[in-house]
Amino acid sequence: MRLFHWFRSKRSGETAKRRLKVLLVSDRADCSSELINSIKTDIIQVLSKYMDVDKDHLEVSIVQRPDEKTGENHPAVVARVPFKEINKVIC
Amino acid sequence: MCEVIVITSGKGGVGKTTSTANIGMGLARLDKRVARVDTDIGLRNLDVILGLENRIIYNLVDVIEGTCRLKQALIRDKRYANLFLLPSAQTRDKTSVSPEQMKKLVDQMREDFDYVLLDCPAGIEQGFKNAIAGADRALIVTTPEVSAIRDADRIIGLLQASHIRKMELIVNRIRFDMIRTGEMMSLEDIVEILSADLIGAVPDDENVVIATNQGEPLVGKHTMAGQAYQNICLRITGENVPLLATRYQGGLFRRLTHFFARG
Repeated sequence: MRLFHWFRSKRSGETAKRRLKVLLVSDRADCSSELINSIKTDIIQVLSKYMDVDKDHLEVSIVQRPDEKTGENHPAVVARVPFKEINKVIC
Repeated sequence: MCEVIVITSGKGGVGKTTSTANIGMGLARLDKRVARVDTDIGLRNLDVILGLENRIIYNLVDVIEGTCRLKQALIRDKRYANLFLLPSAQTRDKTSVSPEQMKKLVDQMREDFDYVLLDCPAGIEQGFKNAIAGADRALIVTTPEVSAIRDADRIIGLLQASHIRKMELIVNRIRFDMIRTGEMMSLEDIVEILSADLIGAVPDDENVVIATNQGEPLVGKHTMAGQAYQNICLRITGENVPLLATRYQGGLFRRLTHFFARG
């Protein structure tokens, strides 16, 4: 039955490498709240051109999201940017 | 010119103490004056790996607290006259020593030695901070496992945030046969994931267990691990030594039986 071993698409070494890559992205991101803070500052800066961003309630985090097709976990930046009103000039 | 090297890993049980014991002895074989310092206060281990457990009178905390002089606490290794051990205290805890005190002690040792090796405790708390305080260079020990590599990554991050600029990776317990069948991450994979410089790979070798049982480091002996440690020592001193063969070593018969065993 160990013949199946030959046809298995992914060897465990490959699996370990893939898991680690995903894991370390979020570990490293967790470590640096500085990074999150600078992302926040930049988001505010960009979006302020278009709307009045509610700076106090802005949330940015790095999470593991499963891929829709493969179901594998991938890291993703998730931002929730509440705003007070859209700039009238733009719309 | 003395170099102070901390041997660290984050995760426990990956071979920090065994590496410290063997690298110390390997450097002594190269005629360097070497001191190994066990900084794991409360969990003393390096002395038993070296077979020097019956010769301890004073320890690291005694030196720091001024109960004795440094020379009184240093144990000369019976195998090499230029090799010493400064044992840790077994009945104290990590808070008995501060990073500043450790740094002062290590700086005091610089005058007498070519290399001072600091065996770091597992974890990233006080013991780790004490151990790295006086170091110029770090060797990070890891194994080809997800948990050990994850912890090594964390340690690398912490070292990068410290004063230490030179850090290198030792990958321990490598099984070249498993790498060949794809069931273990390769050295290239690990180096790529951690983006760190590799200073050596130590094969998984039953002789390490035997050596530990006997309290005799195996560096320089005709074993795979012994050779690997000797090569690491040469690289520490700046020599350019190629890595041990990374392919599964075996004759045709071994390869054939291996092939059928898998199939």
